[in-house]
Amino acid sequence: MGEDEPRGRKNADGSVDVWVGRRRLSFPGGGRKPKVTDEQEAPPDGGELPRGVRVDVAESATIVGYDGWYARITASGVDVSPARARRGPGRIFYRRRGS
Amino acid sequence: MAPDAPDIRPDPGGVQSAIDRYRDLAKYLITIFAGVGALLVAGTQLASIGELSLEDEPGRVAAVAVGLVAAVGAVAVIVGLTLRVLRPVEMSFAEIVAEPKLRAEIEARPWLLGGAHELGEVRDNLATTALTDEERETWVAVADDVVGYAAYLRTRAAFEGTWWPLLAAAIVGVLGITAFTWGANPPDEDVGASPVVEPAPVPVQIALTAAGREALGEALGGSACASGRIAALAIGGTASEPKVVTLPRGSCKAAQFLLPAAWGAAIADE
Repeated sequence: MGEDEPRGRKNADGSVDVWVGRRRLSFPGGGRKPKVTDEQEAPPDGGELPRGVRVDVAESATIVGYDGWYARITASGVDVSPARARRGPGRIFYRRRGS
Repeated sequence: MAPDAPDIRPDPGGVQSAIDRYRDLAKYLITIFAGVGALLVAGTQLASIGELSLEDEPGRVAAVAVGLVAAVGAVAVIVGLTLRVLRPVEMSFAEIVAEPKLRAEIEARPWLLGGAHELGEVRDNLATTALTDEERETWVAVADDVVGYAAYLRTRAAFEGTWWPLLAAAIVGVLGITAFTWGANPPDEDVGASPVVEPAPVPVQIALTAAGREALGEALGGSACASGRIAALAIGGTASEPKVVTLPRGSCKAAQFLLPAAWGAAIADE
């Protein structure tokens, strides 16, 4: 397993840590938002990704999804967002006569 | 990442009513222009076109030709510009992502992005295996909204880019019709003082001079017919040179001629 290959660990408290490169994504569980930290410690050797963790390594970004959240890791940084899209209230408005 | 599945949605984002609004405006405009054009053409008299001569009235012939070309050209331009607004919009999510200006306009409206930070992220979320099928489906709805809004923006841009050229073409068309009308309708020729109705014949008595007898003797039936008072009718001419026709009597013949003072005089019968 190369250094950039995603690795993971399921902790005793139910939280999940995922390492991508030198970044650590900590999913606390219970649908709460994950945290991203720059990992100083070496990631666990041979850490298999815990069940439910989905990782997609593409050219433009590496996306890690788990527990209703996803982290998008690109060259410019990491964005964490809910996995389900929230459709906004925006609509196209136009005036009707007299309104 | 999973490959994009072909998916055609006729009204993504439900913006069809907004797009139709612009199309209705385009239809109103072309109807107004057509009405104005019809009024102008209806008032144009075309019957005189055949009487135009390139030698006599080159300016009017040129005006007819230029005006006709300008009017027909303006109509073609107006129809073409209107069709740009009326024709269906076909676009895909991938096109929007690839078009920087459109992409920037969409990204300036974060409520369209469903929580993503940029369109590229939405595109990735549509295909990524890092999301569940159910989660990915929510991003399909976002892509629908994006495509719908982009179609609206493109229609709006087409309309706004069309409005001024449309107005300019309409003005050119009106000028063309005006030039055509001016060229095709030269003023009536001056008919001078000649009456429309010929004057009624007036009974006169003609007395010929020697020169008149010599000139008209043969035509009147001999020298005897040319002497004395000759009954005739004045049927036109002028006071100094009336046009007369003599009345036949016996062997004297009827003859029509202009009577100059040197040949004699015509005196009205009492």
